[in-house]
Amino acid sequence: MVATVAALLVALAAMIVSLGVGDFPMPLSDVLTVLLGGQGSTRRSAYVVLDLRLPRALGALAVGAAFGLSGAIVQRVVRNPLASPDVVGINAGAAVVAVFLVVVLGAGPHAVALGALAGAVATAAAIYLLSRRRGVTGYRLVLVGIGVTAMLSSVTAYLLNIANIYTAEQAAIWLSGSLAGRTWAQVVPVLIALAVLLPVALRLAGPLRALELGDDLARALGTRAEHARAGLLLTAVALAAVATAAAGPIAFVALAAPQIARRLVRERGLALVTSAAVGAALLAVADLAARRLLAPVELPVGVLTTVLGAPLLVWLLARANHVGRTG
Amino acid sequence: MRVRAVRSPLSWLAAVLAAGLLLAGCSGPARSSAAPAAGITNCGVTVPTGTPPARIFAAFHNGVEAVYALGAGDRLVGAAYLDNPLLPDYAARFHPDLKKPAYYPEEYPSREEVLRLDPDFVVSGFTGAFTAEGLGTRAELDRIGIGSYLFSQYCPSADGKDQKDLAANDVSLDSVYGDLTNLGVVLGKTAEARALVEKMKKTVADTESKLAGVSRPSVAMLNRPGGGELRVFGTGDVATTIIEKAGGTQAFGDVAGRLTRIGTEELIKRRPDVIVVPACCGADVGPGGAQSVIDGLKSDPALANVPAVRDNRVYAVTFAEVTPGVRNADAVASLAKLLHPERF
Amino acid sequence: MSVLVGTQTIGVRAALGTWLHPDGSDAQRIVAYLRVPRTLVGILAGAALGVAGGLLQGVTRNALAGPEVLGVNAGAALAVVLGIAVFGVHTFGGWVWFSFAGAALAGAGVYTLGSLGRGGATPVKLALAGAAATALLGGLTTALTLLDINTFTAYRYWSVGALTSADAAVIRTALPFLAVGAVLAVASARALDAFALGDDMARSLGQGLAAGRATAALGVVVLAGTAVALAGPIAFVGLTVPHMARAIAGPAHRWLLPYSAVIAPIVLLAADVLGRVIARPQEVQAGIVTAIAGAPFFVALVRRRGLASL
Repeated sequence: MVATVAALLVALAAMIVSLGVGDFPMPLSDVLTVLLGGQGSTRRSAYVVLDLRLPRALGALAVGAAFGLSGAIVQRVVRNPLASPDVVGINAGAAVVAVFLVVVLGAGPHAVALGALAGAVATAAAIYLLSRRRGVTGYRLVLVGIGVTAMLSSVTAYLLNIANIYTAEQAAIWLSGSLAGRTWAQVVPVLIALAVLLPVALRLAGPLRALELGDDLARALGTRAEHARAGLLLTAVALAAVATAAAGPIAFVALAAPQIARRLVRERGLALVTSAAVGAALLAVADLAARRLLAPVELPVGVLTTVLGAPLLVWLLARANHVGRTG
Repeated sequence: MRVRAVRSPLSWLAAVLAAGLLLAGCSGPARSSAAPAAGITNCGVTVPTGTPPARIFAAFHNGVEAVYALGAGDRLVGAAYLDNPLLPDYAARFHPDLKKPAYYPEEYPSREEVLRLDPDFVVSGFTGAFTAEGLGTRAELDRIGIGSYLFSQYCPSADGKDQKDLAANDVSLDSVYGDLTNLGVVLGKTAEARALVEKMKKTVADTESKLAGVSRPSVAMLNRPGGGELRVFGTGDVATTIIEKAGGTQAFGDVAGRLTRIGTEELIKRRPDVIVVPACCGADVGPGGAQSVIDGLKSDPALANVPAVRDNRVYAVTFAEVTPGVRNADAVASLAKLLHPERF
Repeated sequence: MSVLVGTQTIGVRAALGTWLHPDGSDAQRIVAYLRVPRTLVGILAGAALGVAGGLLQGVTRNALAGPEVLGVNAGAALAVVLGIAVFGVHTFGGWVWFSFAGAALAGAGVYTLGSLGRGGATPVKLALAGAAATALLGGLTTALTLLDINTFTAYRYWSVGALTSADAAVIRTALPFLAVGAVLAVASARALDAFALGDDMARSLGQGLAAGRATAALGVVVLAGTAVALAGPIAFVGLTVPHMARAIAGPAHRWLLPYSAVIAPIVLLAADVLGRVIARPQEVQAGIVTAIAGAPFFVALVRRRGLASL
């Protein structure tokens, strides 16, 4: 509880700073006036705050929360800290369909969000079926996911390479994942998805707790656990898909947020809400850093999360190896 | 766990409410866009012709040069992206060192940075300026009281789409003349626009009169960024019009679109008589910027039989002159001299 | 095939004419200056990757080891980009050293990480460590290229694994490195065979084992580093080809390595030819084709029973 509140406070602080700083010179009082429904001191204050800074700041929170929640669900259901949507290729599946729709069919944001969802579900199903061999083990799932990710990312790279004859740079930015220039059209679907899916996840999480105790017990609890498992995975896939459609396949938030959350919350519980809050805080801070660190040059936030998140993955592996749980 | 089970729906509710409030806050006040009585249509967008804009932001060399050529250079508050140096007349009035105008050489300045300059009008030579990744869609700019104009050869299929989603566009010089005339009306410089277009038409007519009955070589216009694959200008680009007006035929006359990637083998198959390489991109990149590409083409043994290479007819031009804008007429004249030196 | 098929198809007789009775025609020039260098790059880079994969699987006794899986390709790529961006290196002769260094560092790092803990470097641990390293190195590469547009332009084309960027001079520079790599591979084959029997067995067969493994590891670095410098980070050739070779030639390295050296170029050139025809008149780079075709193979390997107690 304390951890959740702390994470939310960090997220909120990052959001407030994001709203306050930028290239457009504006007193902080203007930001407040505008947020309270006023107009601010210049004729563009309201636009800068409400249409430029707010969607991006809120987008960072929503996308981070969606990835964090999604990662927490998958990691717990599969019972492997490495099985997060970004590592096993679910994000890559969403990305490839999203890019195809944008590049080849010129689709708008809503079609892209739905397409990404379809891509993620199909990829998740494929990975699940491919890793089945008398039951699914966590590590086989992760390895199959790595292979599938490699394949899908190269299809995406190809699509972007042929399409962006003028601005291949934009393609690279999208592939890393970025929140730059996000408008309400991209942010709103993520907010809606969170609003619908977080309660669903919490409702389904009851039976999930039985899963925590091991498959044997869960099996004893009957098909209800099976259904909960499937429903939760689907929820997680949907969250990852919608977030990817909005911001690109931002790496390692889904991996890192639940890991951090687990360490903040002593109890070996599900920490779903805490993971979502930590994810939001992580991405909000990362995006703020991506915006201001090298200003005026902006880095795509995905590059930052990769560079910070990959060592975490390395550390997780090293730890798991020491404990002797891998392989 | 028990604690969370009780609290989470509440915290969730709070989040929903917060999100709802924020959404309501942003979509609440409907912004009034002044419905103009008179206006011209540019890429499906109505541009009002009442009060001329006072603070102009221009993106890309053709946008910047059009503003200067129409005599509105003193109203330029910001400029971005020059693909080649400005024409000398305009360069003398261009003072990025004094922020007159503020100049951004490498990439789009952030939207906030542009708004800081407080422009009331944006002129762009290319489509990308009016996208979510650029300065915002034209409808969005209009909502905050910023008018816009885009060279109509680069009209996207819909507002907000980028350069790869162009509508079926007219690449004739008449379309360039139409844009300069329209922009003149919008900027309150009708007379200047008329004079400019007359001068351009005369240059082209003079050139054409010297080319009567000439045999037309096939011309390939291409570039090779980063030493990688070749990119040829197709029939969906004003480059094709310039080639034809200058007394050549487009070697890639069956290749639609603006730019298409091709392999070296395809160029060998086409056997162009002349290859033209437009130098690009940077405020300090003159025709010499094409030299490395030209040297590469001339020294490639695979191309040795291509007539243009064999006869040493690989020429440099500037990218600025083969994109729609005030330089197109002079581009026709100078390319004609390269293709048919005997007539001049 | 690779010499005959392209934007325009050239007959066998016409192609042979390039050497039998050269006439300087377009067809012959295409063969001599475009398709033959491209084919040579395919052969050399493919063979290097195949042998490197065979050596790596021998050294690590690990069926999932391949230069791309262990992050060696990504390390070489990052080092080359560093070379371009920071040190302004624009020649193959310069790239190749960066490529070696990156390959060596990434390979050593991943192997160390993967062999931590009980059981040593098991396939699963290595693959996971490699995936983590690839993600990190790839992220850094993206960051570097996005911060500098010129590096980006130079890197982009090379990064998708295109065989077309090299010319005769580059191939000449690469040859000595590949020769050294081949010698190292041959020299270490015996040691690898002994090593395959297990640590105890190998030890009883005599000393020189550590030296043999070190030789093989050096061979991997030289071969994979050169291949990446030559053709970009091409995926899944180094992983999959040794398995094909093993199916044909059996597990002995003195046969496995030569077979890999023959099969890998065939695979890579087939991918390149496929890439030339499927999207005419544009081309799909060979590296993209191998990634799409190779990933299912990787998945099949992971699914295979007895690979490790997965």
